[in-house]
Amino acid sequence: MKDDPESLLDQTVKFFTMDRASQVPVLDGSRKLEEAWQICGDVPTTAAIVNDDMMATPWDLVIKPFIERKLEFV
Amino acid sequence: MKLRDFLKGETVPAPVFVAPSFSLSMVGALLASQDVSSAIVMKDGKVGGAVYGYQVIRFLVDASYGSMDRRLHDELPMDSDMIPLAGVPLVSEMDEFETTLGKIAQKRFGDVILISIDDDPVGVLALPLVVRLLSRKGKCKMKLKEVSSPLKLVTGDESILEALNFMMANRFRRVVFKRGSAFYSCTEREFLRAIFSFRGWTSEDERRPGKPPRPDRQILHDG
Repeated sequence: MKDDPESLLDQTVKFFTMDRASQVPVLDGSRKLEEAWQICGDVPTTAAIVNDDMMATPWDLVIKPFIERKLEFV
Repeated sequence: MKLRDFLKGETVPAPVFVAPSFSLSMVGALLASQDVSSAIVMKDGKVGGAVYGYQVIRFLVDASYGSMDRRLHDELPMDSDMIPLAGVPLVSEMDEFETTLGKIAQKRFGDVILISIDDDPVGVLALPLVVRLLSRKGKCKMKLKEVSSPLKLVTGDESILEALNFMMANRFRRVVFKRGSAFYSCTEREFLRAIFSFRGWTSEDERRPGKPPRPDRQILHDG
């Protein structure tokens, strides 16, 4: 541990995350949720950009349809 | 559907245990090395609660708790407003899967602790695994746009401190930014892994004044 750990938090996001950030897939909002599970489940982010101005996170993909009582199981 | 049936054939990450006397640097290092977003706090041999990654980050960036050095090495203030231990969601594999989702929805946090029939913690179930399993075991007629949320981008030029504060203020678990026409994200878990890793605080030498960034970093900066 170095003398000034606080300086780490002054780095920019781009610099700090360049080795770690993952590309997020961009999906059309008219796609079925079932397709989104498949695509998002296969990428490290488990999320997608939707129509360039929205986002679907794991919460959106699972809990929202559950709350709407539209989730079924096979 | 029973949770046991939903998880059949899958490996759920083993729980990470911490004691109430642990410091931020110890908890952070454990979360980072095990690549999990929560740790179970054991008190008197029983589950006393959990420390979540967002709580670790919130404490990390909160200067009201003293210097960074002090925040890193003093005991984490567990069982306080900063890290309340009560109400950690526990589920048994014999519970209905819907019960599990109900607890996640109620707690508004995507991790639940799996316990055995003897009430011993045996794993941590997080929403990304549920997404992967739903692709095989779920059905839903909704469209993606019906569940999506507004996208809030950061530029990537913010400091880590600003980005983490942005995440805390908006209850986001990731930041998203653009490089060219592509979108990239970095989650709370990746921030933790980066901060509490060998290339986090122990890689200051790479950032000495006058020392040029590594070639691969220059390329990514330009992109």
